[in-house]
Amino acid sequence: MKKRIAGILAILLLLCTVVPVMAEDKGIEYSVTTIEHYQYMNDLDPYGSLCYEKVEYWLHDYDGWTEEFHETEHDVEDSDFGCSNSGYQGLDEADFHYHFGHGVDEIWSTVICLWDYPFYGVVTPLEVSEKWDKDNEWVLLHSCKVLKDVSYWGDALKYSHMLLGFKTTTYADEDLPDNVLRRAVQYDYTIIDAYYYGTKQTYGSDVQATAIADILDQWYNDHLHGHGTVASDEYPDDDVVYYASWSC
Amino acid sequence: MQAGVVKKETKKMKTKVKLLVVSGLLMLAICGIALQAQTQTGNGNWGGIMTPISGDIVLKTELPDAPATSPIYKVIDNGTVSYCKPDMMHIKKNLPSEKEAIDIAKKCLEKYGGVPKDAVLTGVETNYLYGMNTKTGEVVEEHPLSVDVKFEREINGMPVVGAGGEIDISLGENGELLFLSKCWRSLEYAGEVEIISASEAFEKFKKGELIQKPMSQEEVEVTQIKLGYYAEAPGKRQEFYEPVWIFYTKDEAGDVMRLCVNAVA
Repeated sequence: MKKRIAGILAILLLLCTVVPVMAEDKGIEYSVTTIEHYQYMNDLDPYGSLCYEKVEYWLHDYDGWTEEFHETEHDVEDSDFGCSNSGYQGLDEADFHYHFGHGVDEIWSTVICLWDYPFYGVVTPLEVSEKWDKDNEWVLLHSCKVLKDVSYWGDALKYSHMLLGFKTTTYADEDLPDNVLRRAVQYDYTIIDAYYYGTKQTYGSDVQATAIADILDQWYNDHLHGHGTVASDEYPDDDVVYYASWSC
Repeated sequence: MQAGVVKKETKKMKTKVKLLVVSGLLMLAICGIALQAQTQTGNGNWGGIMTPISGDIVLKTELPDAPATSPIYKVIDNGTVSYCKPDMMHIKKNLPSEKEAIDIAKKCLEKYGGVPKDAVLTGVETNYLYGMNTKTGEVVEEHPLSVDVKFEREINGMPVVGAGGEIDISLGENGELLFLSKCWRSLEYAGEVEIISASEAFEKFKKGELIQKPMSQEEVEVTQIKLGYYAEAPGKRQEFYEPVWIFYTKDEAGDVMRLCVNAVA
């Protein structure tokens, strides 16, 4: 009898320790940053909120992912973009990150504009160079022009897999995250197929989308977690990335 | 003796730090003044990269005359079809030439209602997957991915812009159909509407009153202005095709955008 109780207790103890570890290991998280209101640039409301709702619907409500963080407006800071390799690592603490906000082509490189751009708020590719090496796999930058500079931004992909965005001006439209995530979640498309399809369905031919992958295996095989294979991280990291641009 | 040296070194260090702080502050002040000068225009408006939609627009074309009215169309059905082959973004070995691709695309469309009479071929483009060294910026690999063929709509010679006014076809290995999206809503003439002049539309354009919000703000040149229609993306419900003024703009990188202002008075 005592043995049986001890056995049950042992199983309970095991469950108490293993289940949380499993949940943590499963740990599929997404993070979101949205900026609708700018101090010196055109506002993009209400599209940041609408886009967030689509991301939340597909990843959290439909697919059961955990939201790591959602920062908005002036709470969105450089650190949210994974500029650090220690302490808080922003987007590098979640598997998928979606960012909504202005992007511009500066003289030195393309940049992500924060709410008070151009005075303070700006995220440059130098800040994230070789920094995405923790948990992140995919980043979608719903901003104009940022991925025009493939070599600069591609350099962020240390162990992260793919960076999705735009080479030209794009538009604020909640259909983008909706179309991309619907295909990836509901139809199990690869990330690249879902992005190709989603951009083509959302925008006219004056918009050019770009996708960058760290290695070919990720370009071919990466699906969102739970929807097919996910290629391994590139190890050791080299300096080559793969990219394509297309007219939407 | 040693303590004296340390103290001397500390004093030197402190002086260096002070100098660094002062020069840092000076640099900041200079940068601040330079930025202010760069971004504030003579008339007191914020210019440069900050408010091009309301400020830095160069009109490189004449404002066209406009008719007093223009037709409006009711959408009868959405007429949307799409096809997508899995793994369409894999490297290909044998793509059709761009010339061949046009005929193949037309053939592919036969299964989906053919090429509509009001369709205009607007582009054929080969897409590549590139390998790039991020340290040198050098393209180290280049592989063909697809050939894209595009048709856009014209209603009585007036262009239709937006994702819902296109046929978009991607072809792969030996002309295999990879992707097809056709949104060609059936329309019914629903009368005439009064429209605003091009100059009124240009004022709206400058104020940023656009149908789609661009997510960038840079200097743009308006190279052409036309009266046309805006078609919402395939999945969206649209009840009417109303006239819009289309501003064809070119940014500093030479990218052409088509920004629409509602033309209904």
